[in-house]
Amino acid sequence: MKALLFPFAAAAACAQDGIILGPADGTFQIDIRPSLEAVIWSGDTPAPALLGYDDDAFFAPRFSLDVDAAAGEHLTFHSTTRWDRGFDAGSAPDGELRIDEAFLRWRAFDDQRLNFQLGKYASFFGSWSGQHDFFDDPFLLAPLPYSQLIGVSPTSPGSPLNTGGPGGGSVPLSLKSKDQWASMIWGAGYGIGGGAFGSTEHFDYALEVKNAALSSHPDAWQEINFSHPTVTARVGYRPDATWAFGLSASRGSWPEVNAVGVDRDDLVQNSLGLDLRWARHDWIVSGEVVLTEFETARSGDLQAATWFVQARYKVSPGVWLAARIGQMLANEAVGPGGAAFAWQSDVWRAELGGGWRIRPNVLLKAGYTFTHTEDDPVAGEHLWGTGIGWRF
Amino acid sequence: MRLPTFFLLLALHAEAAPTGTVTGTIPLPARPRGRIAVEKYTGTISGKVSPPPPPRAGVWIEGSGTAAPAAPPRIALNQKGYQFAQSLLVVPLRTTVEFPNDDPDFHNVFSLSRTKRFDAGRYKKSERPAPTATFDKAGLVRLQCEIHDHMKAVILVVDSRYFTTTDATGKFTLSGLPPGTYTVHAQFDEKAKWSTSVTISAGKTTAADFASNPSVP
Repeated sequence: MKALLFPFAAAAACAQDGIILGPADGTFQIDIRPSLEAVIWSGDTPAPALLGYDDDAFFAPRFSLDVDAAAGEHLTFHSTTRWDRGFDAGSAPDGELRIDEAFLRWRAFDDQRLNFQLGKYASFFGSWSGQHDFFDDPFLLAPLPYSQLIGVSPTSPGSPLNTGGPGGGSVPLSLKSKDQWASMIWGAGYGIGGGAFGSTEHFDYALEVKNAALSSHPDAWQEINFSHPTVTARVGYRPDATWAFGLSASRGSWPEVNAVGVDRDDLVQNSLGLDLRWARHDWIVSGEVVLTEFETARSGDLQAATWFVQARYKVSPGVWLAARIGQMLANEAVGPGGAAFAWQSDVWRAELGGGWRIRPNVLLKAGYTFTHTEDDPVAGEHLWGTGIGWRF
Repeated sequence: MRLPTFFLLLALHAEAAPTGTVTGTIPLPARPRGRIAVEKYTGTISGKVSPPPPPRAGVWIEGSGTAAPAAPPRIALNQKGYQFAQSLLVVPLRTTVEFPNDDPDFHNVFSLSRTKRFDAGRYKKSERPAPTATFDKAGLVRLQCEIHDHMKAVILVVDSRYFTTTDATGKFTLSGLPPGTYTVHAQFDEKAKWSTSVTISAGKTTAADFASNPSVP
């Protein structure tokens, strides 16, 4: 037993490095890093964005366990397991345990020219998914394209449209159960699938095939069903480190369930995204434009466009301020009898954020979000959030 | 003898003033290896990641006439292969350290240590002037890169003009020391510190015995 344990050196309790295990020759290594994030949300109800609570204030703790493993220099594994009160705060108020990410990666060369990845991981679409972790994202809330409910119901493909609010009916979208509706891109898109990606000094490229459309609810990410896959690609160009441009595209069946008279193959979500980033010294300015189209059987093609621009400025070591503004616009759907009606309200969102990295492994963040939804008088507008992240 | 020749000989005599050397071995602790240098998401590394530099300890002496110079020369700690070029750098008080980026992607060196809190911001390859920080307080400074989580290094700021670093096995040689009795300090991180007294004799090599002087808590 001693002989088995001898080559393994556990280096524990080194804050922010977690626990590192592996033989001395480095052929195999496991890094285990627990972390805690705790956010208090408060403001109007119903809560804007994808937040799922109905109270004036909501406490959203999140315990995460990140595991990285490497066998040799080319094969790595990563997983993120979380316990929280819902992927979107409040969607599981009694708490739930999830595996948000678990993927195997093989790097074909010594550099980053070509990697293959298989498992459950954040979408390659756009640029925000790659920086959505608590310590990387200057805001507490995801940008508008990734966190705004829209009037398409993937769970009711036979009658998918929101007919409340501006389109008639009595119940606006903001009062409906959020898990029955879509976001243009839901969160970081932790679907299951496989893909290839790579980077050179000036170019990035990625292609993936996953089980769920970008708009799918987190519940759909768990299903191992590739009968209606979504294909996503991104090409990026960086003249130098200061500038980065990216073009993303995605196509996949948006309904999450079968329905009578509905062929999921005929109902496709097409998305096109443009991302841009400029950074220098204390400044990072970035933005995205996302155009998406939901094909429907009887209401025509539902099209929506979203953009956001955000800036982060470091005012002193470990302290930064950030601001973001975004807008969502949509076309009109074809209603019964051929009359046009609004299936999605126009939305404006403006945000302010700040962060203080007290220690390398402790970060305080706070933010205020104002979301205005046209023609929806009951939609929540004001949202405050304060959170702390602690890596152990 | 002409006057200039006299001063030349005097200067040569001063240059050749007899000095001694101290050697020793620091029992480097089994250091936790660095985190796996693979970023969770794409887009922050476009080149080859080098192995982390080997662990080292810093060594310096304190005693009469050893204080740090008033204006020490500027030195550089490069980032290349998505690693700091050295795991530990010893600098005398008041030293300005440059942080040149030799990689095609941004680096963002920062420290939140009490000894020196600074944030160099995002600097690109070969950008000049490179970001700098001046270290005017003795102690240990932990460096990180905000973008690449695995990149770590230490700067040891000492009030001494006689200093060096060990090799990866813990051995060191510090020469050019004026004869006298000094305290030799060695430090690996916040916890692993050693010190012992040595007497330097001209033209001789003295061994510093850290074994009988355990790590200072």
